[in-house]
Order: sequence, then C-alpha cells, then structure tokens
Amino acid sequence: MSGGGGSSTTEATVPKFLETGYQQGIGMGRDLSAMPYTPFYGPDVAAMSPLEQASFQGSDVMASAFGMPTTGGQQYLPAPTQFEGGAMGYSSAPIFEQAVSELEARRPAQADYYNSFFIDPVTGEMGSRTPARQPVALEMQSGGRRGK
Amino acid sequence: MAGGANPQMAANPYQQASGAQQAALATTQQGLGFTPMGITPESYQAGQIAGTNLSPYTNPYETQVVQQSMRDIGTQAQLGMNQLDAQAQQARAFGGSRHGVAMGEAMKGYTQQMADTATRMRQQGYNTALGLAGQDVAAQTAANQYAAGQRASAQSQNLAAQQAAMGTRLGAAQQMAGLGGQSFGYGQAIQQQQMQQGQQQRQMMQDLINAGKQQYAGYTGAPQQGLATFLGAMSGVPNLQGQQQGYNAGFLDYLMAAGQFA
Repeated sequence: MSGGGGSSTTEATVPKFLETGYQQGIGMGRDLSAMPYTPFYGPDVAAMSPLEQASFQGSDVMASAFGMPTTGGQQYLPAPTQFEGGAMGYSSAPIFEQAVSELEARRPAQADYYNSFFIDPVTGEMGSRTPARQPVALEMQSGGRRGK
Repeated sequence: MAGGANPQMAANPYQQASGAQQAALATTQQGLGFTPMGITPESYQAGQIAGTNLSPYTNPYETQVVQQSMRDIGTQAQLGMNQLDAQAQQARAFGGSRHGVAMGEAMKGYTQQMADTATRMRQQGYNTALGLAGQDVAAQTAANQYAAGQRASAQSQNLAAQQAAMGTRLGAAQQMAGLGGQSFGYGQAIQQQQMQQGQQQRQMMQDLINAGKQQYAGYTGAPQQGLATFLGAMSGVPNLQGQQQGYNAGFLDYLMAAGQFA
C-alpha cells in the first residue's frame, strides 16, 4: 500500500503503565536533584578512653618528676560529645558547617549560585534553578506528568 | 603547648647525662695521665767512733782518783821507809850503806808501783769511755737505719694509697658514665612515650578533620550528584522513535482502489 501518493508516519507508542512509570521516574529524578547535601551530625571519631586519658596524665607526671617539659594539663583535643546510647566521640558537623559558612562569607555569589539549585534546607523553598522552577513542556504522548 | 618542667628537679635526664659524661671523661682523662709518685731510695749515715769526742764518756773525777791512789801509795811508802829506818836503828845500821841501799830499793819499788797504778787506771778509764762511745754510736746507727726504713715504708704506702685513690676515682667515673647513660635512656623513653601519645592525639584530630573534609566534598559535589540523579532517571527511558508505523492513503491510492473494484 505505498506509492499511491499517500504519506507514512512514525509514532512512539508504549503501554500506558510504562509511560506512567517513565514519567514518574523522571519526575522523581527532577525532585531529588533539588535535594541538597545532607550532613551527618553523628559521631565520626571515637573519643579517648579514660584509660588513655590516665596514661596521658601519667606521662605528664613522669616527665615532671624528671624535670622534662609536660603538657601542663592542657588538652589538645576538644571535649568529646556524649551521643545517644552513651557513645563518646567527636562529630565533624561543626567543621563542615564552619567550612560552609566560610564559603558563604568569602564567596557569597558562588554560594548563592550553589544554593539556587536546591531547596532551602530550613524553609523548603525551591531554589531558583531547581527544575521545578523552570518548567518545560513534556513531549510525551500524555502531555503531562502522571501519578501526582 | 608544652608546659614547664618541674622546678624542684635540679636537672633533667639529659642534663644529668651530659654532666655525668663530662665528669667521667675528665676523670678518665686524669687517669690516663696518672703518673705514680717515684720512690726515692733512702740512705742513712752509719756512726763511727773515729773522730768522736770521748770526753763526755770519761770519769770527770779520774784525775782525783789517780792522785788519791798516788797519795795512798806515797803514804804506804812513807810507812815502809819509817819501818825500814826503825829496823836499821835496831840493827845499828841506820845511815849506813846497807841502810841506803835498802832505802833506795824500797823507794824504787814504791815509785814503780805508783807508775803502774796510774797507767792502769788511765787505761781503764780510756777503755770505759771507748766502750760507752761505741754503744752510743751503735744506738745512733740503729736509729738512723730505723728512720730510713720508716721513710721508705712511708713512700711505699703513699704510692699504694695514690694508686688506690686513682683506681677508686676511675671506678666512680665508670659508674657515673653508666648512670649518665641510664639518665639518657630515661629521657629518651619519656620523650618517646610523649611523642607516641602526641601522634595518637594528632591522628584523632586528623581523622576528625578528614571527616569534615569528606562532608564538605559531599556538599560541593551535591550539584553534580543531583544532575547525575536526574540524568540517571532519564537514562531508563527507551527511544521509542519508529516503534509503530502508520500510512495515510493519497488520491492515487483511492483511484487505484476504485479501479480494482470496477
């Protein structure tokens, strides 16, 4: 049935359930791409045990008895934090947050540009460059996202 | 960050070790240059009688004793002469030649006796003085000999004491060197332990910093991660282009179809 002056057309046709799944996946990917980094606020490094602390003090006592320099009781490590369950340790979250604050203070434009890709982690407001704030017309047959 | 040393401690182990080492070296060097005192031969002067003044050994009353003896002999001679005169008178020969000869002989005997007595007494006095002087000379010689022996013995004892003292000092120096080494070891052990514990604490701090850096790396990589998530979602969508084909008939198609039915 060709050669009679008619025209051929090609169309994408998938089952509806598959089309819906594809659209939901893409939509979820779009939403997740606006998710900023999630810091870990738990302990990263275990604190010194009491026996280790006692050993440090013993070294000071020994050095002092022989007239050698000591730490003078000064602590090199900060005071550890006690977490739920009694775990004693140090979290890197303060270091991380200080680094982010430094970035915002020293390079505010870069920080703003960075944040524009994500939601505000406190208010949940979408950043200006998140896909949700830049809608485009979907080209699939149904013409819109399904499943929401 | 290091605190001050204990002010009550006079010297730390390294100062102790250094001081002990220096003292040991100095004493050992002294021992290397040690020269024992020399022993001087001791001599003594033997006494001799020759040239000795014998006056102190003679009887100071010798002359009086001899003179007294002479007087005794003279008295005895006078008595004998008187007796001879009396005998000559009884024999009515007094003043005669025989009396004269007898008197002469008697006088000769007495004179001889006086000479012999004086000589004997003087000789005896000399011998006695000589004997006493000899005893003193012998005593003086013995004293000199004893003193020389004592001096030689003192020298030997001083030498032995000097060597013993040097040996004691060298032994003490050796012990001090050992103690110095021990002090150095103490210092090193303490320092090593401090270093080990310090490194342990610094490693913990480094681990904490690394964890913060790792979080920051996650933070800075979040846009790329979001993009990857988005692209990853789309990568599962198949390319449906050309999956279904359709055909729209044209004017000729309809003519041809009508011709077939005609």
